[in-house]
Amino acid sequence: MSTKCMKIWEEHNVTCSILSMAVALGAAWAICSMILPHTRIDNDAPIVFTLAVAVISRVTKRMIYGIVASLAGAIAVNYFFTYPYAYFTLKIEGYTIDFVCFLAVSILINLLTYQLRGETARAVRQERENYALYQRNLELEEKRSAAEIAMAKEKMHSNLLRAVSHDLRTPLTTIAGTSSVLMQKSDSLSAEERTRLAANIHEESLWLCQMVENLLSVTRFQNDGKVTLKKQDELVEEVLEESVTKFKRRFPDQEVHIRIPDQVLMVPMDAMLIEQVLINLLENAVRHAGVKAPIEVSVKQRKDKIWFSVRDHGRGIAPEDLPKLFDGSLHQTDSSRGLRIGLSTCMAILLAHRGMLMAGNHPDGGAEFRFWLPMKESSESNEER
Amino acid sequence: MSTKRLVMVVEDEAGIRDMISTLLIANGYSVVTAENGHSAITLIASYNPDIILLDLGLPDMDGLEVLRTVRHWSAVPVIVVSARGQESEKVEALDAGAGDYIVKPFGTEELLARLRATLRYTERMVQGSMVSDVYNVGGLRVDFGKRVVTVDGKDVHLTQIEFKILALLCKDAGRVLTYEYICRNVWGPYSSRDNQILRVNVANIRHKIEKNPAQPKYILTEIGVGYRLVEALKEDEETDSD
Repeated sequence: MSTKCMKIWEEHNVTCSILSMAVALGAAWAICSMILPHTRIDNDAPIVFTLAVAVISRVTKRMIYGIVASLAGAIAVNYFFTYPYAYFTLKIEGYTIDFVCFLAVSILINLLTYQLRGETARAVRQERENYALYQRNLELEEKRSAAEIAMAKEKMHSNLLRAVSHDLRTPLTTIAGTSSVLMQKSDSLSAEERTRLAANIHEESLWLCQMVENLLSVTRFQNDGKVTLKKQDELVEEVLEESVTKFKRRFPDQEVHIRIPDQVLMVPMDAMLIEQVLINLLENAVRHAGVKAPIEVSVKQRKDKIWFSVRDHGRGIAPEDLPKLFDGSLHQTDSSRGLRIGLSTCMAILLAHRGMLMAGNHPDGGAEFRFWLPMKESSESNEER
Repeated sequence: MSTKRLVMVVEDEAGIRDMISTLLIANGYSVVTAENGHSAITLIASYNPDIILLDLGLPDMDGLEVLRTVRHWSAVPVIVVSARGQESEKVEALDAGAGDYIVKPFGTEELLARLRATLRYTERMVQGSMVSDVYNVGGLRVDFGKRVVTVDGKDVHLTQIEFKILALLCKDAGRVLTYEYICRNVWGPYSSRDNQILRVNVANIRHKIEKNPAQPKYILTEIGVGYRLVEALKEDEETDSD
């Protein structure tokens, strides 16, 4: 509010206060004047004037009006409504006490009213401040998690771009080169050699298919920053089942052990994408574990989160590589190929679900990838971000 | 001279058409190909194939339209070929009378297996051998007359609804039944469109008949589409236990 407005408001306030004071005192005087000729008793007047003072202190904003009204009341009672009428005196016995008591009671009422109002105002102000603080906290929280998610996404996208150029070229080179050898040198190759070369092409192209699926999923999130998840309540066991079935089509000899809780778990998710996360993690386990031991997949519910774990019994992740897995600084070698596209995709999918992906080594050996999904749909999760 | 089964391949991509034809001929089928919807409809009418492999993404018309047109005058089994992630299209095709579907990119083994299964199913339908009162696969035995279900010789208690669902799947073993089809047949034509109840029921059936519900042997999931009860267990799956 500008100072000018304040001034006007204040002037208005003063006028109002003086007016209400005059009205209340005048009314009290009028009432007493009307009563006096009938009752001829003096002691009604102080009560009526006390009421007037109480009203004034309630209505006006400042203590001064109440005090002035108290004083005016005390004098009015003495002057108009106590013997000798129309004469101010404190000389008659008891009049001083009456006068002082009236004044004291009036001022006390005035004080109490004023104090009460102050407290109420303070409480209201406090309430408002608290609410504002709460709002600000919420906003901060929102901004922080939004910033964190934005950062993770940023990292993931640059990581992905770097990985794509290298990781997709390698298999394409193999496919183009090997197929041209098969075409041109078919006569000089033995049947086994031909089969082996064809198998390489087959293997590389299957791998490419998976990577293209990954890239397609990630690009789905990038359309003007909006997530287009097809979220639905899904049975966890069905999602696991389908993922493992699809995985086994490519790696029929790889054993997978699944452990899930007995109860029926329904979790909101985009099933196709979560399957993709699971398949990527399973394939990583096959490619990088270096052993044929079974892969273990398990699911646990903890509070409002559902945790998935994919664990192998291989050589694990080198401790110095662990922090680099998700930030894109992992060294580009052919053996790590696909790891980055795969993991970035998993991360993108889980972030879009407001979940999280983590990597580590199991205390009993082998790498373990874990991710969680929220069990309940949070209010705004389906919209933006 | 044994008569070879005639497969009609409707696919606009020359590379894929060539690959499928070569594969099928190598596996003892005869093949007729069509590269668009209109020629497919004409050729189907004149060749009367035993089975059709129909790509849904055709240049001149929607594959689903081809399927619907053919269904006016022929019950020939059709397997639709679709791209990944188009669940609604798959469901639509199944509801329009397709026998099965396969998703690109598919493995050759998978394609051959689907062809065999669909042909077998059609034969069973034609011979009317579906009136059999018992379904028997692996350790699972469902007696429709007595309404008794046993797994490895042990009685399994199913609720009314659970039995209805299992019986329905048994009668069409080997085929994918869509959520909507199952719901309509179990809860009636006015059942809600929501398939949650069905899925919880199937989860309960699995917990009763499967050793490991997350690696089921009998009832397989096709997320977003429906369920398929296996027609026969693979030998290697029978030895695979934990």
